[in-house]
Amino acid sequence: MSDYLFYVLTGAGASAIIAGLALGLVVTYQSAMTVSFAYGATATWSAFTFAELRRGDIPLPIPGLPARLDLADEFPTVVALPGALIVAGILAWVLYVAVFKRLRHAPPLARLVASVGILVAMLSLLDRRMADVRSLRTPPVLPREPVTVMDDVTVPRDGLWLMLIVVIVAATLWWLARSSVTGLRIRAAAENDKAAVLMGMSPERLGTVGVVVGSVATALIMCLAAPMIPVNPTAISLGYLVPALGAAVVARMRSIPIAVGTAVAIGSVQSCFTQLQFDWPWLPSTGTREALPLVVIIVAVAAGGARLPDRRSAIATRLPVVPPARVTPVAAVGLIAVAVLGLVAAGPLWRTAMLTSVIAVLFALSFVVLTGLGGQTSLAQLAFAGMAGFALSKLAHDAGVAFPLAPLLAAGVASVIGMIVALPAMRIRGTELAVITFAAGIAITELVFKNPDVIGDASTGGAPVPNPRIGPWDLGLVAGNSSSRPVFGLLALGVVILACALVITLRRSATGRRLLAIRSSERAAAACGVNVGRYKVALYGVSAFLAGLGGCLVAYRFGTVSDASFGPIASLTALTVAYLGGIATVGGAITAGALAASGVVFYALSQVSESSGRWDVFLGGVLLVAVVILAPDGLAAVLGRRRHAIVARWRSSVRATTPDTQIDQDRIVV
Amino acid sequence: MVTSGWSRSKTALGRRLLAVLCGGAVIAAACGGGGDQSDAPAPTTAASSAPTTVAEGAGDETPGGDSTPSDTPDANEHETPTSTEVAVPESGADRFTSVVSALPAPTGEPFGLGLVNTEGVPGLDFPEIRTDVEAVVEYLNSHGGIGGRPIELKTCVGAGSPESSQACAQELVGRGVELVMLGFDLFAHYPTYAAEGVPVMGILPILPPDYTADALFVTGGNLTVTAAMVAVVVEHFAASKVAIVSADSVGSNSTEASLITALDAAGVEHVSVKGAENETDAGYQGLMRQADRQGADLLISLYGGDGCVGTMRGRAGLGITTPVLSTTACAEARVIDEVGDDALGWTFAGVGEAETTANDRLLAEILAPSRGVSAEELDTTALGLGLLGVIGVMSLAKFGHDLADSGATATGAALFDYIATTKGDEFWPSGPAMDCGASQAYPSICSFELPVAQYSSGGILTAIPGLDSVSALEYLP
Repeated sequence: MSDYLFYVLTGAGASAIIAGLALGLVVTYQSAMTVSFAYGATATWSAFTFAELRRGDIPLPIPGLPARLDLADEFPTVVALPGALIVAGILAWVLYVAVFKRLRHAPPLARLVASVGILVAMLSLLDRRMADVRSLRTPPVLPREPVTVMDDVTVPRDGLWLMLIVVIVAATLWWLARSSVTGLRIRAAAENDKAAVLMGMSPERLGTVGVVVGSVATALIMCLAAPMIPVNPTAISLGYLVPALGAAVVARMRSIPIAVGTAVAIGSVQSCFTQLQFDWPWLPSTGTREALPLVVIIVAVAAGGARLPDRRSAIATRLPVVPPARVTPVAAVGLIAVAVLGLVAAGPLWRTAMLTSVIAVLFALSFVVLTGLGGQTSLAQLAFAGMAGFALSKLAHDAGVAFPLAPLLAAGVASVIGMIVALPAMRIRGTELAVITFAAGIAITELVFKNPDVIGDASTGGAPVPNPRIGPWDLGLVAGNSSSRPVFGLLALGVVILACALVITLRRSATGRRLLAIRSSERAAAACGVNVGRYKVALYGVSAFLAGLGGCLVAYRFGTVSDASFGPIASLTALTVAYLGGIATVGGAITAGALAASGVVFYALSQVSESSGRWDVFLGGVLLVAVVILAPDGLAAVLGRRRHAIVARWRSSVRATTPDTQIDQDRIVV
Repeated sequence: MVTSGWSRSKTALGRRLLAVLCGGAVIAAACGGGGDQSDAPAPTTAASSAPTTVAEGAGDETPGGDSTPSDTPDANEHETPTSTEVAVPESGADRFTSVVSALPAPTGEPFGLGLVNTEGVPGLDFPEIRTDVEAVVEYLNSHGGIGGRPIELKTCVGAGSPESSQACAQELVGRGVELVMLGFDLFAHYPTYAAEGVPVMGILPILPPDYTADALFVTGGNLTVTAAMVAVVVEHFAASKVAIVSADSVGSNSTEASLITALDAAGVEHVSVKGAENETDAGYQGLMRQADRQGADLLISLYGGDGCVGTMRGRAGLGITTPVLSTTACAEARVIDEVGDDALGWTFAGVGEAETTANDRLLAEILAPSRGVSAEELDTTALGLGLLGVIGVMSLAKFGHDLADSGATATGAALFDYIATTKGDEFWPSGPAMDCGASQAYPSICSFELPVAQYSSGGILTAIPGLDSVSALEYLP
């Protein structure tokens, strides 16, 4: 038992870091009803600022200026800590005012996508501005000397101190939120800003106060933790954020004590895994440490959810508009002709970009089915695709299953995994579901994509995939002396056309109407006799199948499967692109395909404009946030409205120039 | 088997470069999984700022024993005599170094050389590889080119994704290059190059497909590092049981799988302790405690960079005396600077001694202008991954020079064939001996020998006599 006590105590520092982030996430949500994936990145910036200040430098985030001002050999903690906290507060204020306040009434998905944009921009900014330091070590702030708790249990005391500070900060914020007038007002204004306005309060100002307080509290924890961990761009931004998100979701984004308690439990379990892997040797040897707490969280949250939402949450949910699925022959033939032209007649580079776009349409379609039609959220779509890709390697390469059975079976594997992930969706929804599916995607990544038995190693050359063949016909991208065969592009296009037809048919069918009913109101749909749970599971299955087909095409394209194509960040990126294009329509999916990284739009831009080089990723993140603010329903919706406006203007101009008799006749007809 | 394949004529720079490459391999392995670069070391040379010497007697301590300041010979007593460099015959690479500066500007048909590199992506941004290659190409275009042909460099910058790597392959074959050199390209699309008949040369195999690709790699990456580690486990430490401490990341798991296969083949018992990619210092202490409790003769750490700092401090903090074998990733200057004598008892596969040689001076002369410093100011021990490209282009120039001397034309295909079929020659600058295809399972790998060093007090890394060239060949998984 002393072993486990040792690991709980040595894990106190990590637990405190997770708790600090979870605490900030809950406070921010209670203030602005926003779950931000960028929260870890802003906390990282605070920690970097603290570490740089301790070295006597002031980091400057603005491109064009020197990366840092060197003012002294070092600043003491009493100077560096307040400096970092001020920076944290300013950063939170800027992001709230510039982004989240503007998205206050946008769909929750829009806020989530915007936060992904901020995450991308912040990480890139850190990388660019701190290019010379990949990781910072900071002198100790808290006492470090070992403390002997009992025989054989001697641990550094800084983690214990940090935990104590987290508990004090959490208790203070909890008391303020429940008992102070400002705390109560902040929560009230976040939940109902109109009522708050009627009572003479300013929801924006209260939201700002809450967000800044949450951010500063987290920054305090991160700065004090900085000496215990290497401060690098990814550790806090992603490594500690995911369990913190899980803890916040367990707390329903509302209870500070539950969030902190869960975070400590997660940190402790992860720390104890060092011992657990020997006491429970039957546990999978890879990925369990990170995945086990996530799986427990998923189950716990799902178990604690309700089969149907309450009336209030049904009203609060808002998703992008789903227009009727109209397909004009001209548009369909035109798009297919452009794609065929790009895949057959264009040069290899245009063909490569077109291929990327065509495959990206499949991923976007999987979101159209799930989110656009069904109103569900998934941040694990690319994990499903990856499952299909690796299954294809096993089926086609190892077992010799022929095309097209192998990819269909592989997509079926993805579909089954999708339906399993759907189980929590029976009881939770909205932001919580987004976080839980993100956790599920990470669990898949940890347990499957980290396993050398699945992904291969040097001796197997990874996870190879043979070319698709039908009899003597090789349909692969590379064969013989040709490195860019159009036939593979046409195969991919054929799959995408079938998928588009499937989604359009689904949208127009009675099943599609039931899905839209579920999307609009699960309670009302259930009252009308729709089996909400069954449809949700089927929805995830179909959506994952489409993503799985995309994963198979990716695998065929490269001849090998790489986990890098299917990680959690890839899922976030895919959702982002799908949302930008328009997550509710097939047209939106096609737009998203065009907008995909390395797709036709990016390639075209690279041909006509000078690349901004090292700032590309940063600018991409900023642009993403801007588009979400300006077009929260997606670019396809904007383009559609533009098209309608132009057509209407043209029609009115035609009417204006038509002889009066004709107008009269029209009027008579009407 | 521990061999002495590298003669003393092998210059120190070559070994340091090898150390960089081995460190780079660990970086790359760590990069293999999404955002899991946290255990990746910074791309700086091993032994970069540490005053490194060759301690002839340093390895005489009992295998498995822990080095202490008292039992480590005074470094000053064992500094390599500068006359050593003069006394030994020049290797092929040294000869090229001595003549290249006198070669006239090339005048033949341009040699289309493709370069693929990754830049601009957070965590995967290595512009120094491109800029250093450009500097070398500029120098060579005034000094002999490749076999008397001026080099026409065509660069494609990828974004660290399979899509961008494939696009780069398409672009370069479309631009008619004769040979492609891989800088840092995680997902090189070999089928495209093979279909178009464009030979590929890389410096560092990173992901599993690289090891079986239709390409040639100067070093063996993690694969040969782990095999060399097993050689050291068996031949030097005579360990019957080892405890492996590693991060649960894609790259580390893959490396660990190779290591375990090799250990099994060698009949060495092993146990694994998995940690997180990002541990607190206390967390690393817990990992080392657990590893030490497994009754192993030797601990093996596969952590890199910050993980090295944590595990070194953790071991020292707990007073563990079991020796630790690790990679060059833990011999980085920033790691050694951070932990100091907490690194006592640590041995590093892939690390050799450092001396200033003619190769260093040439390197400084070539790179100083592009780095904005004088040749005297340039620290050739801290060039980072830029050395990847330098080694590649200079090796091509050396082989091109050899081909031209023999009356052949230095085409891309001829160079590839030369590297693939020539045994015993060396990559520039006196790196490991060329032995492409020596392993049928890993046909793309061209070298299998690594030096091994250990930490001695005062921030000194000392080569271990008898382990200046460990062959990985017999222990490959």
